[in-house]
Amino acid sequence: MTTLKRALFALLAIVPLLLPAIAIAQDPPPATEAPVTSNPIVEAKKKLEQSRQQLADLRNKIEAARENEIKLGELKLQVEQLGRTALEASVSTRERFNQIKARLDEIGPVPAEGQPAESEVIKEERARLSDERAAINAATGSAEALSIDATQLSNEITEMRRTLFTETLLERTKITPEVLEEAIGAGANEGADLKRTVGGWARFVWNFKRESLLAAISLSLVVGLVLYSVGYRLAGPIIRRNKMIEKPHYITRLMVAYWSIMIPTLAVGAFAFACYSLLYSFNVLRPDISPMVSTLFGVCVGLYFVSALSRAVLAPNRPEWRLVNVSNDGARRLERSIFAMALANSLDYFLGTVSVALGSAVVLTVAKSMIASIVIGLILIWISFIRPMLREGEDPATRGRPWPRALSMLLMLTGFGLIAMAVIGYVGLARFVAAQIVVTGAIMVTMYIGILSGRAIGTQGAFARTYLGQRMAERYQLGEVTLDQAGLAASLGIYLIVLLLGLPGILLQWGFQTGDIESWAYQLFTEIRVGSISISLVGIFAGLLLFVLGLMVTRWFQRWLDGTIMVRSHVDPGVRNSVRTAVGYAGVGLAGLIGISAAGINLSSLALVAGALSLGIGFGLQNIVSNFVSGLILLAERPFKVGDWVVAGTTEGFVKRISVRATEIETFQRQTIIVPNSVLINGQVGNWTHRNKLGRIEIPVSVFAGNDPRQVTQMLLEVAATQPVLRNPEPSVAFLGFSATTLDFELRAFVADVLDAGEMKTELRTAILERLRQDEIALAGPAAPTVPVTMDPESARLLGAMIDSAKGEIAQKPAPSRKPVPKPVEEGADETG
Amino acid sequence: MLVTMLLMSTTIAAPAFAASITNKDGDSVIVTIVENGNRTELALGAGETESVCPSGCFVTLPNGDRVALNGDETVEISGGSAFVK
Repeated sequence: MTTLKRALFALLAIVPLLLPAIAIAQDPPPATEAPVTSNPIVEAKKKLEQSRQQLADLRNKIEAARENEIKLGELKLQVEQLGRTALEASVSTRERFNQIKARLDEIGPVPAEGQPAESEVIKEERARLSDERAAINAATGSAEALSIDATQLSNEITEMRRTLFTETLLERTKITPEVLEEAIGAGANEGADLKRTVGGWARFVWNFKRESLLAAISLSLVVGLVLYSVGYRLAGPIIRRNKMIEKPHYITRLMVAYWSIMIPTLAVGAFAFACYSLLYSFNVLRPDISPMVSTLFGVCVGLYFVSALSRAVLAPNRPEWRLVNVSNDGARRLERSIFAMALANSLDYFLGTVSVALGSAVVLTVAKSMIASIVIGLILIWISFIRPMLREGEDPATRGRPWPRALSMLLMLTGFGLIAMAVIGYVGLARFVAAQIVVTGAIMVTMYIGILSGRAIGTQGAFARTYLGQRMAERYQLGEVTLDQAGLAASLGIYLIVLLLGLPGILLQWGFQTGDIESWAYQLFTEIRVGSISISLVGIFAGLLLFVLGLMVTRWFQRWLDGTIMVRSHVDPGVRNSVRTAVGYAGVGLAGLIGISAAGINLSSLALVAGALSLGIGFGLQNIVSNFVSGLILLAERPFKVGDWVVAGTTEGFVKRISVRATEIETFQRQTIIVPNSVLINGQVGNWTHRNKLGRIEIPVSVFAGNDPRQVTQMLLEVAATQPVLRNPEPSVAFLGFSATTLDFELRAFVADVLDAGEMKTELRTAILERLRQDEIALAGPAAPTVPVTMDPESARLLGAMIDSAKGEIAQKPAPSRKPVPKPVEEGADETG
Repeated sequence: MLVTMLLMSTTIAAPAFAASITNKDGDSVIVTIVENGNRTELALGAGETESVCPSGCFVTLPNGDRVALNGDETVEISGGSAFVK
């Protein structure tokens, strides 16, 4: 009883609140039933029964509206709403369901045999609750069936609409004076209707929702101001036409044009969307008003877009910023006619929505579309008479020349065609063509400008000349190559933006639904089917990403292992190198496998391919495989390591890098030689620095045969002892041979580092030579041997006298300085000669 | 108009949360899910959790109970019946 009382009180409290609504709404909703006492299951069942009835009604309506695209669209929404109602109805029983379940759990199961029997009350309650549970299940089941039906019906409608779209274009409406008369009557009716509806709504809103309306309007203004100031500050430099620039570069003009179309249009669109959302969420709009308002906003945005586009391309007042080469006069006229066309189209579209919202006769829509098509046709004909063309380099202020003949013919033909189509009754087609000329044309021109600017930015060196490029170069100290790459990236980005914005726009224009485009895009990224193969872009991208990630992790692990663990453990550099290389290859392999798996490529199918190819690979890639295996052996066996001085065949030098296929050896002349690993494994490799860096140096010494060999040996050993060669093994001297002229020795000594051998040899040779000079050990015999001459004493005296007289002559006049004085040879000094 | 359409499409495409179903039983269970007019069967191993139907669906549980989900609930299955949060 108390609950009933409370409900009554609650109702009494609510009634005054409901009163204005009841007073305004034509039929007050039956909200007077007390909801507290009602059973949710019964309610849900009732709702479902209603929904089923409605679905049946809708099915009939859809059959009737098979030819009416707009009606079908509305019905589809209703059908979808029914499906949701079914879901909501069964969701509303959930609370009760949970209560029942909880209570049933409390009561527990039916007692088994042998257990004490339970009381009658509990038994009864369990039975009642179980019944209720079954009823809920049944209701949910029927809701489920209903939702399936609704979904199927909704799909049917979609199919119908699609076929309609292709068919109604070519449908013919007879245009007779009666029809026109009827249309005029309907127009008058619609005008009155519109006045009444809008007036009623305005009065209602002003009287009862004034705060909401004012709040929505003021919030919209705030949003608009924020958008304007932020947009102006952020995008100002790229959309404003800088007055300082006298002759802007083509790229600058393109960029300014493109962005001055896109950014303000997006801002205006955002503003319109925000306004509409605010009005909607403040409940200011009535269901019959809201489509009109939304269309009005949409049409305004569209109109703004077209006029921004024509202003950007034609720049009627700024000839130097014009993208096309037309005369001033032509540009002004073209801009006006394009705006007029867009206006006619927008009005037609808006009035069409008004007709739909007010349920006006179809004939009115036909008449309006006919007028719009004729107007657009006339404008096209007018455009064909404009004289905008200019010769290259001609002053834009001149009068201009007519269009090229083909273009003017095309314009005129389209104009007359539109008028003819509208007059003979193909109004749908005429309207469609007229709308496409304006809207698709506008979108395509925008896309074209975007693509042009993308291409212009992408050409070599173009980005560096733009304002942004110069600023970036100054700010980040970018080089020419980096700037060029940035330009390329910018160009690709512009292409992407253009396609992402433009293509869906055109598709939407042609009557595709947002859902279709979304699902296409989704499919494009998740699953592209070619025959039985399905490719997933997202998968491939994820695979690539994982592979790169794997590589990065591997590199990091390599560095960490090498630089932190192995350095501290004082591991041999060769081992370090091998471990690092092995870890690197293992990481790359693993990352590759993970990437391939993530890309959705089945590894088992790869195995099949690998199996089939292995024979071919075995033959064809024999060398590479052999080198690869050799590389692995090199890494494991380590006959040489990086930095070793090796000799392989004719190649001698330091090992720079051991990779899996080949090893790099740098010769002493700094030439890098890539030696395949199999050569290093199969051939003989000399390594000067394998186990230790010990090396022996040999210095051959030849002295004059007249010297004492023991003295020379002793001297050489003494010299070696003064030099930093190893004492153990100690230096030794070998007496290699002797001949008539020389004694040949060889000094052999060991050095700790074979890399120092050359320097040490030089040092030793210098020291030996110094010592030889110091000890006056002759390196060679006299320049000419002494020849014994036999003569009689008479001749000897004569010769002596001749020599004496000659000496006297030389003493009297000084000898010419150029002539070398022959060295006096002591007779009998050398007998060996 | 184009822009409003684009903007609207973005709001429509805003991601909805999916309902999650968790099997708290020791054995695996099979639940039937009806979503967008399609009937699918979902097998859940012991302790497994699956995300289903972002935009609402009907679920038939092993014990024959049927529950309707808006798409943002958490469902726990124990003893063949469900507890919806």
